[in-house]
Amino acid sequence: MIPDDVLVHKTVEGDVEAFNELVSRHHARIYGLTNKMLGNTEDAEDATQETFLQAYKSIKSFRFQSKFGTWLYQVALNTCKQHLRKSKNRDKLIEAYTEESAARGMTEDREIPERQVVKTEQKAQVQAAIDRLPPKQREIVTLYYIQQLKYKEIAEILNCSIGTVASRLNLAMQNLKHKLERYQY
Amino acid sequence: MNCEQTREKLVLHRQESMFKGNEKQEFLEHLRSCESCQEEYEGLLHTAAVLENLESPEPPPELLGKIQDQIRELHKKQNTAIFAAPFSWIIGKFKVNLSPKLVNGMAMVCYLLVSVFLVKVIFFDDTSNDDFAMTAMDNSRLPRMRISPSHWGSMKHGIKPINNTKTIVTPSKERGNLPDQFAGMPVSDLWHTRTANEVTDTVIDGQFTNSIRNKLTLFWSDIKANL
Repeated sequence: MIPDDVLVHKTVEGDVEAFNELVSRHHARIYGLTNKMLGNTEDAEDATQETFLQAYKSIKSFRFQSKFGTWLYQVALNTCKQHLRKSKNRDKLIEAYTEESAARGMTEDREIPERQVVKTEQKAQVQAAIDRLPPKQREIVTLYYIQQLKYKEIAEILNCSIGTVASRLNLAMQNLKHKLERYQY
Repeated sequence: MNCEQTREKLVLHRQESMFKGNEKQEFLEHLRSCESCQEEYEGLLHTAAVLENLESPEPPPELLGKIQDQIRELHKKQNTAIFAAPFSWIIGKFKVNLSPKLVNGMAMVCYLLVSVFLVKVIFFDDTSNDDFAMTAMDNSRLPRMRISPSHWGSMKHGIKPINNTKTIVTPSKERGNLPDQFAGMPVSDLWHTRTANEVTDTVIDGQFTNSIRNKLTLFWSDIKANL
């Protein structure tokens, strides 16, 4: 498999299909991130598309100091932040997301029951609890637990120290635990 | 290590590098001895387990193709020169996928051809080759009128009206029975004097007109008259 960096070089030289190969490699993870950050599939699709368009436009600014995937996460998080700023009717979004995630949980339950360790209802509650976290805590929880990135990678993406990542994650987890207790979790 | 310090470290327990010196040992010792922190720790582990169990949502299958199409479109826009944009638009209407470089090249060739044509029409209008105008004149009500090359046409064909030329003035009596006005223009504007080259130009009546506008007007009026 051609490494990401080589594909980036080819893209800079004008090979559009090289970038499309990068899209095909990373779109699922970026969609996962935007979905968790924005809380609904429609916005997540838009944000994923915008992320890749933005990445293509500014590919020349990628300096190869980090992995391409890490840089792409930064672009995606910035896109999500813009979306959240635009989103005026936030409560409505959360409500829609909670219903949608519950419905999705039920579908997953039917399809692969053996993989369901936690009950669907609990999952929906956790999703809703994540969605109610402040954006900075939500992004760190998503990156660490759902995207399963390492502290170092998260620090690179968020452009902060590992200590900041740790303390923010600690705060987010305390907050999340508190929210889940309210759900009688 | 007290409860507050321990709880700060709870989330980091799996990251060995986050503990300095013997902090990990102190953390574990406190956890073993404090029931409240144990409860907190278990709660946190449970939350973490639930979070880790949450699967990342799968993107819809059509999303990848949609993004890739948008990237291709953006690539075309970015690489198509401004002057080639109309060509790109027209080609896009036919759903033909051409590379931006090819579109730019085609646009340049087209612009070049149009420029050459315009330059020829404006500066090298050799009316002696204007067959349709000649035919029109032959059949017109001005059969004695002769169409001569333009100044630029004379230059192009190397006609040097220096030694073998003479100036012919058309006397008004030779104009025949023409009215004062023809095709909305004074006849005096259509008939005028010129310098002709006796070697290359055969002077029949010494009557010239060089304006393409006049010739076309006459041509059109003759067509109308014949109809």
